[in-house]
Amino acid sequence: MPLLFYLLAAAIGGLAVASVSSVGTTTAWIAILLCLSLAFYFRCFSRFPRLSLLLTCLAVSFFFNSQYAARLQFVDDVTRIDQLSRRTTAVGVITDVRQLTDGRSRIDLLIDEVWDKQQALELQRPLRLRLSVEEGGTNDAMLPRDRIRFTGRLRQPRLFGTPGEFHWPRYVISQNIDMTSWVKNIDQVALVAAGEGGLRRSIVQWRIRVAGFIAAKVPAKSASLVRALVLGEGRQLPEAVRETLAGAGVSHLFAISGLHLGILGAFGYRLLLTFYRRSTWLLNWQPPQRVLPLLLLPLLFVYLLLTGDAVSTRRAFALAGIGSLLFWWRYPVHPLHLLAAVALIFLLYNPLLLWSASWQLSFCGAAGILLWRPWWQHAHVSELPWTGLRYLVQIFLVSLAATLATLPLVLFNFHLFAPAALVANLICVPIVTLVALPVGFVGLFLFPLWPPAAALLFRVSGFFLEQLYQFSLWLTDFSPLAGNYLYWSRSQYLAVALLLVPALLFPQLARRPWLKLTVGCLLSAVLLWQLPLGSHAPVTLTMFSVGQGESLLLQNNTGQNILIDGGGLYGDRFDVGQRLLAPAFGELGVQHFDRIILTHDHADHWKGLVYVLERFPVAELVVGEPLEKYHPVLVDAVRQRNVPVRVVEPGWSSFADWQEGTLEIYNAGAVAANANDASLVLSLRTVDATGREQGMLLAGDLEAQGVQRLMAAGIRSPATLLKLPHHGSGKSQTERLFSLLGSGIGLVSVGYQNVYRLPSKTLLEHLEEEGLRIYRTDLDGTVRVQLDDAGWRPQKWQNGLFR
Amino acid sequence: MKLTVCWNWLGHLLPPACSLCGGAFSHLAEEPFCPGCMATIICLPQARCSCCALPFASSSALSPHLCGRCVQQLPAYAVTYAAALYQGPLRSVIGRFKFQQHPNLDRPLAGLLLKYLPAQLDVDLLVPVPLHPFRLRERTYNQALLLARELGRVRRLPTAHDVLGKCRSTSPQQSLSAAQRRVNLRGAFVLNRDVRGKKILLVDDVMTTGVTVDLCSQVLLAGGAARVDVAVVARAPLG
Repeated sequence: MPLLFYLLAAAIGGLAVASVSSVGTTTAWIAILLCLSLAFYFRCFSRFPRLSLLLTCLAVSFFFNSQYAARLQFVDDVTRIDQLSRRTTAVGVITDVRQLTDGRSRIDLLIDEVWDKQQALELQRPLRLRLSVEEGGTNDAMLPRDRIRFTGRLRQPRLFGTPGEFHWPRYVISQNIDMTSWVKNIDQVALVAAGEGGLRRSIVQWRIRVAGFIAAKVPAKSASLVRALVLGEGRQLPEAVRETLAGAGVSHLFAISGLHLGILGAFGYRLLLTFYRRSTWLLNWQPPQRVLPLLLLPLLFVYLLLTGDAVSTRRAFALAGIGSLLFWWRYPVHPLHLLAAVALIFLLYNPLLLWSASWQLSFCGAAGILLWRPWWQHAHVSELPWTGLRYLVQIFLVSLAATLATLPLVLFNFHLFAPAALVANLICVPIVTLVALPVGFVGLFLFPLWPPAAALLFRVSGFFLEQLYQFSLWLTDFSPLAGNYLYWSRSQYLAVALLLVPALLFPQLARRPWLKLTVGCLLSAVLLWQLPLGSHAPVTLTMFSVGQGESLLLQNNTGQNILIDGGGLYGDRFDVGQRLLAPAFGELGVQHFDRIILTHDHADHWKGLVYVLERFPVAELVVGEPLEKYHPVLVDAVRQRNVPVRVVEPGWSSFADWQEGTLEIYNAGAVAANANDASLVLSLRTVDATGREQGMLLAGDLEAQGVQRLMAAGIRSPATLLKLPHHGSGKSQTERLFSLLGSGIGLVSVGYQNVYRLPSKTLLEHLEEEGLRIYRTDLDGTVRVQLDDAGWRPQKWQNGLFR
Repeated sequence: MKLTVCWNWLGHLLPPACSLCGGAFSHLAEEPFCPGCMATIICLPQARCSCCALPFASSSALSPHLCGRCVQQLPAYAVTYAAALYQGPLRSVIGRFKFQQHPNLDRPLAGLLLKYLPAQLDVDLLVPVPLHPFRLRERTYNQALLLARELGRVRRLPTAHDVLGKCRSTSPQQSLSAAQRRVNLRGAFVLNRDVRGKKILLVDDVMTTGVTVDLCSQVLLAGGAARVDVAVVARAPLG
């Protein structure tokens, strides 16, 4: 195996470890120097020269490991502006503009002035900002190089801090963005000075014009598909369309990658070759195979910029560029080596790309296809009698290879298993490569020369894409092939990947090493699958960080899971259940619920439950009032899944089937005037290993009256762990509750910088003075409290582990 | 020096692939193909025609002599340098080089030929066997020219692609006998430049019957060339 693969593996290993633990830059450089000098020693003076390879790899791992933390840091200005936690006015120059779904758009800009209440803030360097515009960004009013001003909250990208969560800050930084902001309408963005010239500006302008032209001339249903296919504007596809395409496993056709550049390149090559062939002098000077690919690079580069410079396009372009240079130099390389070299170059340039889903899918898909090349290029395939049949067999093998190679990544990133991909690609790849894409490209080429012809071609392309979409829709409705959402832990995804390694390497290895590899992979996969996931303490309470809202998971060591509330944000764009809770359950190994308790009918407590009810088996839903009185969306979800509902009778009642201590629930009943005061309250009392009594009280969203009623009904003590009522509000008489209970640990679930200014600062200060240790989700992320010998032991979720 | 170091490191990181089998091999070996593929290439035996390099059936070590055909009609060229027999994998790789648009096979094939060329060549000019412009457009390059350029680059000799020209497009010769080839090619080659007094090495990829190079040599000698030798990558055995 060439050195390159070892280095790439070392880089990926170092970065993978970095997501859990990383070393400082100085330490890393000392370690690197040490490793390299030892490597030099072993190479030159020792009898074990192979050790030097290991040490070199270790040095590379250290380098990438330290780079991770260094890249993930925000500059001081970003934190300072974020801490202001109010609207500021920013002025800067646009660098890129993208159009998104439903008339939304995204403007990247470099801001050099930030004004806080008429006072300019000093910036160490210009900040790169991503501005989301909710409405009206569909024309070319704003273009790169324009200088604009707007007022809004500038935010530092933050993690919620739940297990298995999508790492938003890492994603944003890997795209070279420092801060994000949001405005309702493009009207709120003022043009300070119009920019001039520049390649990017003209290309973005052209893209917006073509997009507008397609939107105007092609029927609305297929216009977005044509734009996605030809211009790489996949982000403007409606959510439902995107989900259907992903479920059918054909969304890769709408991400500009090797396929698109390959077809464009083939066209360009054919065209240039007809001219090149006319000149004997040129043919005698150099073979066109050496010269034309280099001449085509500028065309591909313009297309790369036109389609928005996505990672997969860059990968394809880099491969094409380096490949054609090496061809010019007559330096033959194995395509897999070239792919690995490009991957390493990308990671050197930006180590955070390793976690970018498009980077992973792009490289692994290409690697899978190349690994299986001996099969799909095999003589048996190329000798098949009929060209169409040969082409179909090749497409099947190629898409099978790509699907297998990307399966663990699709599971890991999107939690999606799309078995339809194999069938769908057989139909969709020929439609796209032979018809829709070439026709679209010719349309793109004709657009500036002869618009009516371009419109016709776009319409033809759109017609085929519409058929493709209908086919995907039909396929995903067919239940054996429908996409499944699976939520597992990281080690389980890794186990799946290990199971697929032998299948992918089969065409590359001789039988004996392959057998050894297979046995090794199988054993490691079994081990990884079994790896302990959740907690093994008698009682565990996990308070998920779900923003402004609340969701708690109560577990015991007999495998009983009770979910109390499901969080939920008021906006429609972010489904807490899908984005935060489901991945967290997967990471913690929770696959079913014995009970879901909904404390009261407020969106910040029930909204996230809808997705959980849809995707996870739930044995019982516990509520305080008859189900009909709850929000219709929730009621629908419960009825659709036929979840048995239990209405708790007023006063205290207990759950007899709970196996660890006594679990009781309190319902204030209909006497409560508002929903908060009607919150269900949960109490657990048990004994720890040393024989001391321990207890917890989860006080829902009770306000003053509710707390009084609860105290009148009789508080179950001790409650050494207290989930503060109503997100730590100052108006819930928490002090009185605390003085009765004398708890040691307090939990608060609140959103970062929430508009309600919860939790109450004075309350928290008071309670801390009284000796209560407070854990809050906005600052600590997800908090897990386990019962052990010394009572409750709290841990915070940080950098991928509970610590 | 520095370039060599860079080259070595590049070779370690990104080892070149063998143009025959596609597998990676050490760049330090300085062989045109990987050891496995080199083993499949059959060298020309010592027992061969001293003029046209036709391998003799018997390998008995006789003093150098001509083959039957050369005795009957002595070719115009003096000596033929050939690297290997036109057989097995080498035959298919030359086919790829010629017909399947793999121009980059010129370097390894020229490398193979260079191994068997004498270190001291008494030659002034390298001349490739020409291709008719029509055929050139079809194939997009003249494989003999690419080989000649590679030889010229390594041995620091000038290459002239316009010395010989093909004025008549001829039908492919693969299925023709030597006599038919001679008829087919008669008058097809013309001299475009003055070669008086030059010692010329005529370069081609394969020599099957030797008719093509013989006709080319005749044209060159008629134009006043002092001497014509022939270098080919592969020499077809008799029959």
